Amino acid sequence: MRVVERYAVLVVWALTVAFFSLRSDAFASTSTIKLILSTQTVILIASLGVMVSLAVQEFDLSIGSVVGFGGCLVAVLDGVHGWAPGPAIVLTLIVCALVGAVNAAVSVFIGVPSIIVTLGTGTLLAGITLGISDSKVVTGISAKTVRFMTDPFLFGISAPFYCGLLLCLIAWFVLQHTPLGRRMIFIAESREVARLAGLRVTLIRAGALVATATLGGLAGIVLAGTNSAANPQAGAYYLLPAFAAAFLGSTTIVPGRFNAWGTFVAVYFLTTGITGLQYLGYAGWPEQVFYGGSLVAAVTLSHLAGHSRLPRFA
Amino acid sequence: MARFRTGVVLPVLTVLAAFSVTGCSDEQTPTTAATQSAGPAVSNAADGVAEAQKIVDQYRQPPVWQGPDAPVNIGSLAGKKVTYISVSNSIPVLKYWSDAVTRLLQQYGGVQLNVVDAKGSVDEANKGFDQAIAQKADAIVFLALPPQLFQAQINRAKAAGIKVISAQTGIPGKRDAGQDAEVSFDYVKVGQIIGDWVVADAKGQAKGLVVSSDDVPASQPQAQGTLNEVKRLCPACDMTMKDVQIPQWQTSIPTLFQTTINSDPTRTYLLPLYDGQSLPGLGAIRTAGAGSKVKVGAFNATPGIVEQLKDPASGLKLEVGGHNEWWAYACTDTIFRVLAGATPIDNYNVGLRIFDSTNSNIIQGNDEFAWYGSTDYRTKFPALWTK
Repeated sequence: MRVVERYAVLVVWALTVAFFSLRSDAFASTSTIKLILSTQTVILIASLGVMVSLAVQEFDLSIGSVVGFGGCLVAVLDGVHGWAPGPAIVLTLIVCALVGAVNAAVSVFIGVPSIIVTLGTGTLLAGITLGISDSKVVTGISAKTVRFMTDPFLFGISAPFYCGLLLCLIAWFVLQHTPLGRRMIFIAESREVARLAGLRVTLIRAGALVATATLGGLAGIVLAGTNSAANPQAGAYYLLPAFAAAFLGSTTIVPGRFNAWGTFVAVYFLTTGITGLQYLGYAGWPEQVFYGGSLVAAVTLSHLAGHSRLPRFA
Repeated sequence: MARFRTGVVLPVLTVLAAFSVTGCSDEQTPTTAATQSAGPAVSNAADGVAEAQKIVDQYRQPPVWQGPDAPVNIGSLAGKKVTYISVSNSIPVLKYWSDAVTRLLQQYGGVQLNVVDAKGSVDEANKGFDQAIAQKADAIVFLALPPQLFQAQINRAKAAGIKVISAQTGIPGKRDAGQDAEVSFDYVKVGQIIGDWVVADAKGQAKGLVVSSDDVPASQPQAQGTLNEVKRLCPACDMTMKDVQIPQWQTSIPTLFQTTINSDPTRTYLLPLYDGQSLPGLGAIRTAGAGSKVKVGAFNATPGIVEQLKDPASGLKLEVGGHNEWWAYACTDTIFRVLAGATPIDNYNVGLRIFDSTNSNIIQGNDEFAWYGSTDYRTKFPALWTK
């Protein structure tokens, strides 16, 4: 039963691929693989960010705003103020990490629930993003940055995908194979017991929120670089997909835990379904039905199969 | 009633979101008007291409004044008060419009404009109506707010003897909620121009995809404008339409562009409504290295996006821009006419211009009005305002 649960989404993913391959000649092609892998890196990175804080039972609702803010900040620094891409990216990541530190300070150290704090900081950040961009699309990102984000890097797929893959690898290693990962699981199970056991609960929770915001900023950088411009409103639309992928990911590979490869599988399973629907001519509302339906079905089935195998949030 | 009002917040915010990413406007527009045609269907493909090319050549040039010629006496309007309810003045183009109309009304007619920022909220907009009625305003202008949502407020204002003007709700002159006038960009014309460009560019052999966004009320008028124009001028052309709404722009447009190309590499014309809608798709085109294979066309010519016309890798090949200052003059003229009791103008034919590879060199600097190369409206309108 455990094996079935662990690989159920992968099996459904394979069946999805088979179904669309039978129904659409264009679907079963290398160009579709490239499409699926290369267009979802922003969601993948944002989902990994969300997953890190969910792994210690923190909700970071500011992730969408951080994506938008990170994209606009790097575009303003690079495109408007003429910074070199490297320093612009580093400063953007630092500022986004500071946003995470603010979330952590208020929620972890002061004790306000993170879902409330990040709702507020997300709204605050959305306003700041409009301010720094003058509510306009920011352009002028250096050609070097755009080329790095969009030119084929390996097997015809651009570098950001491999960056996302590397982040998955790092997250998997940290969560599954290091003492820190074990401590995060322990904290997720019971903060109080973890604290009594001598774990540095506040520091680890704070670190998770900082990591989430930093990854959100990185997702924003990828978004701006890929589009060659930053839309200050764009980030908000990544909030729900990121959470959906993280929760769906918690039902597979390591059922019951927010995990990196589960998140990876969830992102690309959902994209495969949406891409297949588009090949069949079903853009628009069917995509949302598939997206939401898949999430509800996977979480429900996982719950029925494993009873207590879902993260406590779910 | 309270529940109804809560229920309409989302559509208003959706409209707001569309404004914020397009830098321009879209609102409540019945689809029936979208079926209007620019002319009869052509008898053969060559005629269609020739007609399309003629229209494209015309709109590549600076827009020519096609506004009203009937003067209006504004000598008695000094001291009149107008309440102007804007859906959200945190959006630069909307703030620009309210500032410009305030200045023009005061400068030419001595009319006072009280600007109410609805901040995207139906309740705030309702307060604006209440405030105007309490202050015995002479007219109310509501901008980018669907008239049907404010039917009761319009009726109350009119019962109090206040003139009501809707602005930027989609189709010029459309007065379907009892308002006295409507002043808007002509979105059907925008759609037609995009269709003309496709037919002319493809020489009568276009295959394309129109991407609507039906949570924006002006979506269908523009989209149908394109489809009908292509059908009229190019019997051999093959256009399809898909709907991708605002919340899905970021996540679905990139895959939609690429699946369209992969499914049928000859379907090369990708036509989202707005350049803000196209932006995520341009990134996907760049990533796929398909910039030379597709032709993306959209409305707005938003600074920050229109510059990508100069980047072949982006795939952006067409922008149709609408002149915002010209529209501010048109709005001012409408207010003067309504206050003076004159017949309102249905369509001001506010300047539209095609930007593509033939003239993208004029997109320079931050003064977007300079790109249009036309300032006639700055003298033509004041010449109509007699005292």
